[in-house]
Amino acid sequence: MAQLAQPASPNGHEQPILQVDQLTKRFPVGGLMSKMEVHALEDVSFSIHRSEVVSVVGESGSGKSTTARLISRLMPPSSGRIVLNGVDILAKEPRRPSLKYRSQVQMVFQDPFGSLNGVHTIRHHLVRPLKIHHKTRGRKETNERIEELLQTVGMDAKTYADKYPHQLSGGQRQRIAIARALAVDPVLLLADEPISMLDVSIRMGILNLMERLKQERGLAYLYITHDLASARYIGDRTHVMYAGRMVEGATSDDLVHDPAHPYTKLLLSAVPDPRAERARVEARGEVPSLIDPPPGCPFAARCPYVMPVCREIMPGQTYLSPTHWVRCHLFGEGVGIS
Amino acid sequence: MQTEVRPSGAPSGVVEQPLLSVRNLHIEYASDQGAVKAVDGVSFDIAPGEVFGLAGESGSGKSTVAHGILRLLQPPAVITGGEVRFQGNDVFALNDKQLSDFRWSEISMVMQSAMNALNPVMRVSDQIVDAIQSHDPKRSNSDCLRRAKDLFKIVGIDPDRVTAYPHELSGGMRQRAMIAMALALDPPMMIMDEPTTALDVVVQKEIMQEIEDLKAKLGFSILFITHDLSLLVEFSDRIAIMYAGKIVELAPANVLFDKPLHPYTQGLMSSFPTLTGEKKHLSSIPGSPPDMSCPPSGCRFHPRCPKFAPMHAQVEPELIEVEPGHWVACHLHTLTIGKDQSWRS
Amino acid sequence: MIEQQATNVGQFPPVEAELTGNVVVDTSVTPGNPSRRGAGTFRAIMRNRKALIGVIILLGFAGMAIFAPWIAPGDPNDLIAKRNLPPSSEYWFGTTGSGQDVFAQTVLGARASLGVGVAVGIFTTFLAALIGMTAGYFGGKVDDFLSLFMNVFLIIPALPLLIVLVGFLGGGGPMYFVFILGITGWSWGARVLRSQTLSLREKDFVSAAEVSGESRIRIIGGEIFPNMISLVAANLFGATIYAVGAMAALQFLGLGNVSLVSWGTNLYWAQNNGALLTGAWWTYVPSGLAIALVAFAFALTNFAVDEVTNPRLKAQRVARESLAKLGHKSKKNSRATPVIRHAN
Repeated sequence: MAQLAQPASPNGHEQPILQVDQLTKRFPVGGLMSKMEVHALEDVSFSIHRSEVVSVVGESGSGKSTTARLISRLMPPSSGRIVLNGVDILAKEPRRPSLKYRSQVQMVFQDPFGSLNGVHTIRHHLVRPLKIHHKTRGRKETNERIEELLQTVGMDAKTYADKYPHQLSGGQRQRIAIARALAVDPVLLLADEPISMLDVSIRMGILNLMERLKQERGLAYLYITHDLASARYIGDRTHVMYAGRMVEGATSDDLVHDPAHPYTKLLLSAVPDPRAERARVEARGEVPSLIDPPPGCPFAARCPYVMPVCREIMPGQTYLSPTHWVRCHLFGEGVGIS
Repeated sequence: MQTEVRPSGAPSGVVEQPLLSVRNLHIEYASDQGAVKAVDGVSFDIAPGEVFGLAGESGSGKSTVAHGILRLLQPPAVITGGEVRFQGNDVFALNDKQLSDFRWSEISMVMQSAMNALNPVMRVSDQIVDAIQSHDPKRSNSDCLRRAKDLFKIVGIDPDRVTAYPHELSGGMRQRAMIAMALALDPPMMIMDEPTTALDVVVQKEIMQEIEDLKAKLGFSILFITHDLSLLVEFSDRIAIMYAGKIVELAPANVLFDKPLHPYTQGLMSSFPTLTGEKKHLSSIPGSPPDMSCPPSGCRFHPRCPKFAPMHAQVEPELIEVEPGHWVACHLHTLTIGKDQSWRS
Repeated sequence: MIEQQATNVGQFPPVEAELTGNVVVDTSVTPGNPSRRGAGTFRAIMRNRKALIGVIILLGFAGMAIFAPWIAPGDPNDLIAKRNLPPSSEYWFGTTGSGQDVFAQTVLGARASLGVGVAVGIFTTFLAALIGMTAGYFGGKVDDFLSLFMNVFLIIPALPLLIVLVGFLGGGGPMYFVFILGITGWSWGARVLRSQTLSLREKDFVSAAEVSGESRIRIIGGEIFPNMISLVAANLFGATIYAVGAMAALQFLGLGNVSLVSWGTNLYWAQNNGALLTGAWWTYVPSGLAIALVAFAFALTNFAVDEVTNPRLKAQRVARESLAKLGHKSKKNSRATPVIRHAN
């Protein structure tokens, strides 16, 4: 397969922290004798650089969460490459991820109630990663590090370290989840809808914390969300996913002000924005089934600009600018993949 | 311009002949650690054909209010005070049979998750027929089925799908089915409790459009409950913001959006990142929603308020009309009333 | 969309909605939730009246079993008096059809019956947990194989198998019963624990532990198992009751060594000596009652464990009690929120 060109990094020629190439995940479905497969993720490629937040936006069934789970190696991909700091991870450790990988790539989950174990104290949640990765020696050092971690996320160790998750609010739990992820000094943080289950008035606090950590530590983020507005707020770049494929990628401002893909435009018009003029959304149909999908662009069934070629060939990446690409036949000469 | 200061508990003057009138509603939850006041003196009116938005976060009591109006709350919830009148009739004075008749035919409800509200082992058509027949036992099955198909057509689902089971429908279609069910008896008012929160944004937009179209055609009022303020501003006529069991601000939607008076409302407005406009640094409201078993003294928002003054922790502010139709419960605004006839923030 | 059950079900706010990806969750701190750590749970259980009664009864029987030789000294099989004497001040429970002391037999019988019961309870629960959790967590071929194994044991009808084994293996002492009842009784518990493990495995905190690099053994033992303790406890109680009852049933049928002193053999001999015909109720009522009381006590304790670990049950009870205190008579099937007006 020809190597698809990657967009320029924010600072020129620096090697990306994470490079994902043609990542694909298919699940067998339908019982013992069936050969049907759910194409949860198909041919996804992107990269993240140091101190960069890449937002991935999509609705249900888009494959955005699957992307995070694959990169965090909670499950193996069906095909594709994951390259971390220049190392082809799946070639190096195809079966189980090494402890080193676990110390470099961490994850924050969507549900603040579910991602902490209700029978363990906060201290336990933070001690475990420290112990597993031998980050500290002895109780004193461990406790100091825990204090440090809690302080970093804006919480006081004396008050919170020995509490149980149910004694904390949702926002506090999410901060603990971030602290736990930071315990191993990762270079990449995967945030899977970290604020969508929090009260509105505290969401910004968490996003601002993430931003601050990015500035202070050069952390790279994959920020997954269904909310375009927060994707734009925190993301340097935003990618749009639909039915398991990435259909557009650009700097966040470009994507919002100059969307190319018809689905991106649909998404933008559907976001409630009291300041904008109210346009009606005429979306025909719904997200197609991911089971053994037909060839061509998955959005063809709903696209107001659909052409015959759309139903036959999946469009390749076309660059509208060095930092803005789209997979859509409207923009012509992309390398097609049938 | 003269401003009239009305005592709390009677935000009238805006609505002449309200369809629904809630006065001084108090709802508690009994627990072995003492009662928790979830709704503490809430009053508002809804006019016929009006969309009234109720916004708030966890612990605000908005869902409790909605369910309390129809007396749908389960133990340990108890209604401990106040009055709800619908077209003049006292809802709390109805006995069980009258209440059962009242529900659905006068006020119906669309819930947050269709999979919660729809019976998973019954076909949707059967559930609609059930609902109709429980209020009108003499109606024949075929008649009810016809109505069910009509309802599906009205909400934009292929009428042939009316015999499907809930899990056979997609999320958006299930929500539409719920709306169809809520319309079954042609109620003058619908309560919608976060009806689109669980849906993707495109489907959400479609459903909201449909609700608007239906409302324009059929003329029912809506009590719309959500935490999504931008959705409310787009969709409602008037909005009430709830915090810690009380209404802290009530105004027409565009007024609330352009000129929020309560610091909580202002904080909420500024914690929504936008698609258009400049990318500026936003901050959240510090602290978290209060523990309702032990709410803050005085103004319940004072621990999180950027404009806090010591007096605010001692005296609870009253909900006062500072401009025609614009009510706020905040010392910053009510203190300046009376100095001159117009108000300044 | 991710759907998860609200963990604060039964508390406020009331709408026990399934939470999907976009829904905002109650973030206010829930007050007064009993800590799930050992001491807190134990205290909570003790505060429950049902549990207290259950535990007292069990302690009573345990004491009886442990101190049996001092409570009723001598060999219970000794022929000490005339046959079929009704209860008197000399022989509290009377004598059997062969002239033995019923009291001594009942008290000493507790040792074998309870001993086997508890041993089987522990043994089967251990097996069920080991096999069930392994199958649930590892999934795939491991699960396929273990599930097949479980299902085979499940389908085999226990009682006939027990009878056949007893017939073939001979012997019949307590260890024998432990082995047989253990082998046939673990599979149901294993299925239940496997189910629970399957559902817990999908929780985010398990994924988070995996992403942290936690080893699989530690995840099963340290993350999943602590969340299953109430289920394991229920399993333990259930298995113990099952063993006590099953052993008594088998012995009543005359299987195993009938000269062993236990509640089951007491019943066997009572029946053998025609107690129903002679009207010597004192020869079978004590042992029968003992079995029933032990089962009852375990069931009570189980109720309490259920309530402590399922806040919704507790909330309902608390609600009923509080409303009663306020003077409101809650109608059984009223589907309306009660309205109580008092001075505000």
